[in-house]
Amino acid sequence: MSELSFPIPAERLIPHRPPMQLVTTLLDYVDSSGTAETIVPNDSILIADDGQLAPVALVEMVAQAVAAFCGYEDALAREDVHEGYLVGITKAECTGTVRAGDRLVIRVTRTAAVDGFAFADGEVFCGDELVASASIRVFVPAKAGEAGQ
Amino acid sequence: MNMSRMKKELEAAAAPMTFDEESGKHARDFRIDPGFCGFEGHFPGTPVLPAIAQMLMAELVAEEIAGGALRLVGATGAKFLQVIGPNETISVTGKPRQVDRGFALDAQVLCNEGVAAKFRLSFDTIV
Repeated sequence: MSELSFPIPAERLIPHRPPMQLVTTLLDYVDSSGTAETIVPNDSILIADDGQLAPVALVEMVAQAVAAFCGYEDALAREDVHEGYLVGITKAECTGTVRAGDRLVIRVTRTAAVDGFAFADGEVFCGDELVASASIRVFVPAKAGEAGQ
Repeated sequence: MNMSRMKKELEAAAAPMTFDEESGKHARDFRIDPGFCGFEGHFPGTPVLPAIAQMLMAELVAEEIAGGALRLVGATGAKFLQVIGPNETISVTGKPRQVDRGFALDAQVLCNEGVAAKFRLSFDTIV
Protein backbone atom coordinates (compact mmCIF):
# COMPACT_ATOMS: atom_id res chain seq x y z
CA MET A 1 0.00 0.00 0.00
CA SER A 2 1.32 3.44 -0.88
CA GLU A 3 2.31 5.76 1.91
CA LEU A 4 -0.65 6.77 4.03
CA SER A 5 -1.28 10.36 4.96
CA PHE A 6 -4.41 11.86 6.44
CA PRO A 7 -7.12 12.29 5.37
CA ILE A 8 -7.35 8.72 4.07
CA PRO A 9 -10.26 7.50 1.92
CA ALA A 10 -12.05 4.83 3.92
CA GLU A 11 -12.16 2.41 1.00
CA ARG A 12 -8.40 1.96 1.45
CA LEU A 13 -8.99 0.78 5.02
CA ILE A 14 -12.29 -1.12 5.15
CA PRO A 15 -13.82 -3.87 3.00
CA HIS A 16 -17.23 -2.16 2.83
CA ARG A 17 -18.32 -0.62 -0.43
CA PRO A 18 -21.32 1.52 -1.44
CA PRO A 19 -24.14 1.51 -0.73
CA MET A 20 -23.22 -0.11 2.61
CA GLN A 21 -20.04 1.91 3.05
CA LEU A 22 -21.25 4.62 5.42
CA VAL A 23 -17.92 6.21 6.37
CA THR A 24 -15.92 8.05 3.73
CA THR A 25 -12.69 9.25 5.33
CA LEU A 26 -10.36 8.57 8.25
CA LEU A 27 -9.21 11.97 9.45
CA ASP A 28 -6.75 11.06 12.14
CA TYR A 29 -5.40 8.34 14.39
CA VAL A 30 -3.79 8.94 17.77
CA ASP A 31 -2.88 6.02 20.02
CA SER A 32 -6.12 4.15 20.52
CA SER A 33 -8.42 6.80 19.08
CA GLY A 34 -9.43 7.90 15.65
CA THR A 35 -11.74 10.30 13.86
CA ALA A 36 -13.71 9.56 10.73
CA GLU A 37 -16.17 11.59 8.74
CA THR A 38 -18.92 11.15 6.22
CA ILE A 39 -21.39 13.25 4.31
CA VAL A 40 -24.75 11.53 4.17
CA PRO A 41 -25.59 11.01 0.49
CA ASN A 42 -29.01 11.95 -0.83
CA ASP A 43 -29.39 8.46 -2.32
CA SER A 44 -28.32 6.54 0.79
CA ILE A 45 -30.22 3.29 1.20
CA LEU A 46 -30.80 4.37 4.80
CA ILE A 47 -32.44 7.72 4.01
CA ALA A 48 -36.21 7.73 4.41
CA ASP A 49 -38.64 9.45 2.07
CA ASP A 50 -38.59 12.55 4.27
CA GLY A 51 -34.80 12.85 3.97
CA GLN A 52 -34.01 11.66 7.49
CA LEU A 53 -31.33 9.08 8.12
CA ALA A 54 -32.42 5.92 9.89
CA PRO A 55 -30.94 6.02 13.42
CA VAL A 56 -29.49 2.50 13.04
CA ALA A 57 -27.15 3.94 10.41
CA LEU A 58 -25.40 5.95 13.13
CA VAL A 59 -24.54 2.76 14.99
CA GLU A 60 -23.16 1.24 11.78
CA MET A 61 -21.06 4.37 11.29
CA VAL A 62 -19.42 3.83 14.65
CA ALA A 63 -18.67 0.23 13.67
CA GLN A 64 -17.21 1.27 10.32
CA ALA A 65 -15.15 4.02 11.94
CA VAL A 66 -13.68 1.37 14.24
CA ALA A 67 -13.05 -0.78 11.17
CA ALA A 68 -11.24 2.10 9.47
CA PHE A 69 -9.19 2.65 12.59
CA CYS A 70 -8.21 -1.03 12.65
CA GLY A 71 -7.61 -0.98 8.93
CA TYR A 72 -5.16 1.87 9.37
CA GLU A 73 -3.28 -0.18 11.94
CA ASP A 74 -3.23 -3.09 9.48
CA ALA A 75 -1.88 -0.78 6.79
CA LEU A 76 0.88 0.43 9.09
CA ALA A 77 1.75 -3.23 9.66
CA ARG A 78 1.61 -3.77 5.90
CA GLU A 79 -1.27 -6.22 6.24
CA ASP A 80 -4.31 -6.55 3.99
CA VAL A 81 -7.67 -5.08 4.93
CA HIS A 82 -9.59 -7.64 6.97
CA GLU A 83 -13.32 -8.23 7.15
CA GLY A 84 -14.75 -7.45 10.55
CA TYR A 85 -18.20 -8.04 11.95
CA LEU A 86 -20.23 -6.02 14.42
CA VAL A 87 -20.94 -8.70 17.02
CA GLY A 88 -22.16 -6.72 19.98
CA ILE A 89 -23.66 -3.46 21.13
CA THR A 90 -23.42 -2.94 24.86
CA LYS A 91 -25.34 0.29 24.63
CA ALA A 92 -26.25 2.70 21.87
CA GLU A 93 -28.19 5.91 22.01
CA CYS A 94 -29.52 7.84 19.05
CA THR A 95 -30.31 11.31 20.26
CA GLY A 96 -30.33 13.54 17.20
CA THR A 97 -31.86 13.83 13.77
CA VAL A 98 -29.60 13.54 10.75
CA ARG A 99 -30.58 14.39 7.21
CA ALA A 100 -29.21 13.82 3.73
CA GLY A 101 -26.35 16.23 3.07
CA ASP A 102 -25.26 16.46 6.73
CA ARG A 103 -21.56 16.12 7.49
CA LEU A 104 -20.95 13.75 10.37
CA VAL A 105 -17.80 13.29 12.42
CA ILE A 106 -17.35 9.96 14.17
CA ARG A 107 -14.88 9.77 17.06
CA VAL A 108 -13.93 6.31 18.28
CA THR A 109 -11.70 4.99 21.01
CA ARG A 110 -10.66 1.38 21.28
CA THR A 111 -10.98 0.34 24.90
CA ALA A 112 -9.70 -3.22 24.57
CA ALA A 113 -8.53 -5.76 22.01
CA VAL A 114 -8.50 -9.48 22.76
CA ASP A 115 -8.11 -12.41 20.38
CA GLY A 116 -9.70 -10.80 17.35
CA PHE A 117 -12.28 -8.82 19.31
CA ALA A 118 -12.06 -5.04 19.47
CA PHE A 119 -14.09 -3.15 22.06
CA ALA A 120 -14.70 0.48 21.29
CA ASP A 121 -16.68 3.53 22.24
CA GLY A 122 -17.86 5.94 19.58
CA GLU A 123 -19.69 9.23 19.26
CA VAL A 124 -21.25 10.75 16.17
CA PHE A 125 -21.43 14.51 15.85
CA CYS A 126 -23.35 16.66 13.41
CA GLY A 127 -21.69 20.01 13.88
CA ASP A 128 -21.52 20.48 17.63
CA GLU A 129 -24.51 18.24 18.28
CA LEU A 130 -23.97 14.74 19.59
CA VAL A 131 -26.42 12.66 17.57
CA ALA A 132 -25.40 9.17 18.64
CA SER A 133 -23.11 7.22 20.91
CA ALA A 134 -22.35 3.54 21.11
CA SER A 135 -20.20 1.02 22.91
CA ILE A 136 -19.62 -1.85 20.53
CA ARG A 137 -17.71 -5.04 19.96
CA VAL A 138 -16.23 -5.96 16.57
CA PHE A 139 -14.79 -9.35 15.60
CA VAL A 140 -12.07 -9.76 13.00
CA PRO A 141 -11.77 -13.49 12.16
CA ALA A 142 -8.36 -13.05 10.58
CA LYS A 143 -7.01 -11.81 13.90
CA ALA A 144 -8.55 -14.50 16.08
CA GLY A 145 -5.99 -16.74 17.68
CA GLU A 146 -3.34 -14.06 17.83
CA ALA A 147 -1.92 -13.13 21.19
CA GLY A 148 -3.84 -10.43 23.06
CA GLN A 149 -2.77 -6.95 22.02
CA MET B 1 -45.11 4.79 5.04
CA ASN B 2 -41.96 6.92 5.40
CA MET B 3 -39.13 4.39 5.16
CA SER B 4 -35.62 4.03 3.85
CA ARG B 5 -34.98 1.83 0.85
CA MET B 6 -33.44 -0.82 3.10
CA LYS B 7 -36.46 -0.90 5.36
CA LYS B 8 -38.86 -1.05 2.40
CA GLU B 9 -37.00 -4.03 0.96
CA LEU B 10 -37.09 -5.79 4.33
CA GLU B 11 -40.81 -5.15 4.63
CA ALA B 12 -41.31 -6.61 1.15
CA ALA B 13 -39.36 -9.72 2.20
CA ALA B 14 -41.50 -10.31 5.30
CA ALA B 15 -44.40 -12.66 5.94
CA PRO B 16 -47.41 -11.55 8.01
CA MET B 17 -47.00 -11.29 11.77
CA THR B 18 -47.90 -14.19 14.03
CA PHE B 19 -48.46 -14.19 17.76
CA ASP B 20 -47.81 -16.96 20.27
CA GLU B 21 -50.06 -16.51 23.26
CA GLU B 22 -48.09 -18.85 25.47
CA SER B 23 -44.81 -16.98 25.12
CA GLY B 24 -46.30 -13.57 24.44
CA LYS B 25 -44.00 -13.20 21.46
CA HIS B 26 -44.85 -11.78 18.09
CA ALA B 27 -42.95 -13.07 15.08
CA ARG B 28 -42.36 -12.35 11.43
CA ASP B 29 -40.46 -14.51 9.00
CA PHE B 30 -38.16 -12.96 6.43
CA ARG B 31 -36.45 -14.37 3.41
CA ILE B 32 -33.82 -11.99 2.09
CA ASP B 33 -32.84 -12.59 -1.51
CA PRO B 34 -29.38 -11.90 -2.93
CA GLY B 35 -30.55 -8.65 -4.50
CA PHE B 36 -31.18 -7.02 -1.12
CA CYS B 37 -29.52 -3.61 -1.02
CA GLY B 38 -27.90 -4.38 2.34
CA PHE B 39 -25.85 -7.16 0.80
CA GLU B 40 -24.38 -4.83 -1.80
CA GLY B 41 -20.95 -3.82 -0.61
CA HIS B 42 -21.30 -5.81 2.62
CA PHE B 43 -19.08 -7.35 1.53
CA PRO B 44 -18.07 -7.59 -2.15
CA GLY B 45 -18.13 -11.27 -3.08
CA THR B 46 -19.28 -12.32 0.41
CA PRO B 47 -22.79 -11.09 1.13
CA VAL B 48 -23.44 -10.84 4.86
CA LEU B 49 -26.68 -9.56 6.35
CA PRO B 50 -25.73 -6.37 8.23
CA ALA B 51 -26.46 -6.23 11.94
CA ILE B 52 -28.40 -3.04 11.38
CA ALA B 53 -30.64 -4.85 8.89
CA GLN B 54 -31.51 -7.29 11.67
CA MET B 55 -32.30 -4.35 13.91
CA LEU B 56 -34.52 -2.85 11.21
CA MET B 57 -36.36 -6.16 10.92
CA ALA B 58 -37.06 -5.96 14.64
CA GLU B 59 -38.13 -2.35 14.17
CA LEU B 60 -40.73 -3.52 11.66
CA VAL B 61 -42.01 -6.03 14.21
CA ALA B 62 -42.11 -3.33 16.86
CA GLU B 63 -44.06 -0.94 14.66
CA GLU B 64 -46.65 -3.56 13.87
CA ILE B 65 -47.11 -4.32 17.55
CA ALA B 66 -47.24 -0.64 18.45
CA GLY B 67 -49.61 0.12 15.60
CA GLY B 68 -47.62 3.02 14.21
CA ALA B 69 -44.26 4.45 13.22
CA LEU B 70 -41.48 4.41 15.79
CA ARG B 71 -38.12 6.10 16.00
CA LEU B 72 -35.19 4.14 17.39
CA VAL B 73 -33.56 5.88 20.34
CA GLY B 74 -31.49 3.11 21.88
CA ALA B 75 -30.20 -0.43 21.85
CA THR B 76 -28.77 -2.51 24.65
CA GLY B 77 -27.44 -6.01 25.16
CA ALA B 78 -27.09 -6.69 21.46
CA LYS B 79 -25.31 -9.84 20.39
CA PHE B 80 -24.90 -10.90 16.77
CA LEU B 81 -23.96 -14.56 16.82
CA GLN B 82 -24.27 -15.82 13.26
CA VAL B 83 -23.17 -14.75 9.83
CA ILE B 84 -26.36 -14.73 7.77
CA GLY B 85 -26.25 -14.86 4.01
CA PRO B 86 -28.85 -14.58 1.24
CA ASN B 87 -31.86 -16.87 0.95
CA GLU B 88 -31.85 -17.90 4.60
CA THR B 89 -35.19 -18.19 6.37
CA ILE B 90 -35.04 -15.76 9.26
CA SER B 91 -37.58 -15.45 12.01
CA VAL B 92 -37.62 -12.29 14.10
CA THR B 93 -39.48 -12.53 17.39
CA GLY B 94 -40.36 -9.64 19.61
CA LYS B 95 -41.82 -9.20 23.04
CA PRO B 96 -42.83 -5.71 24.13
CA ARG B 97 -41.41 -4.39 27.39
CA GLN B 98 -43.24 -2.14 29.79
CA VAL B 99 -41.55 1.26 29.81
CA ASP B 100 -42.46 4.66 31.21
CA ARG B 101 -42.08 6.42 27.89
CA GLY B 102 -42.15 5.24 24.30
CA PHE B 103 -41.90 1.60 23.35
CA ALA B 104 -39.35 -1.14 23.95
CA LEU B 105 -38.92 -4.55 22.43
CA ASP B 106 -36.87 -7.58 23.36
CA ALA B 107 -36.05 -9.19 20.04
CA GLN B 108 -34.45 -12.36 18.82
CA VAL B 109 -33.35 -13.23 15.32
CA LEU B 110 -33.59 -16.94 14.64
CA CYS B 111 -31.82 -18.62 11.75
CA ASN B 112 -30.49 -22.10 11.03
CA GLU B 113 -32.35 -23.46 14.06
CA GLY B 114 -30.48 -21.21 16.41
CA VAL B 115 -30.37 -17.71 17.82
CA ALA B 116 -28.56 -15.51 15.34
CA ALA B 117 -28.98 -12.30 17.32
CA LYS B 118 -30.70 -10.79 20.29
CA PHE B 119 -31.10 -7.24 21.53
CA ARG B 120 -33.38 -4.81 23.26
CA LEU B 121 -34.50 -1.79 21.28
CA SER B 122 -36.02 1.38 22.65
CA PHE B 123 -38.19 3.70 20.60
CA ASP B 124 -40.00 6.99 20.72
CA THR B 125 -43.43 6.97 19.17
CA ILE B 126 -43.87 9.23 16.16
CA VAL B 127 -47.04 11.28 16.34
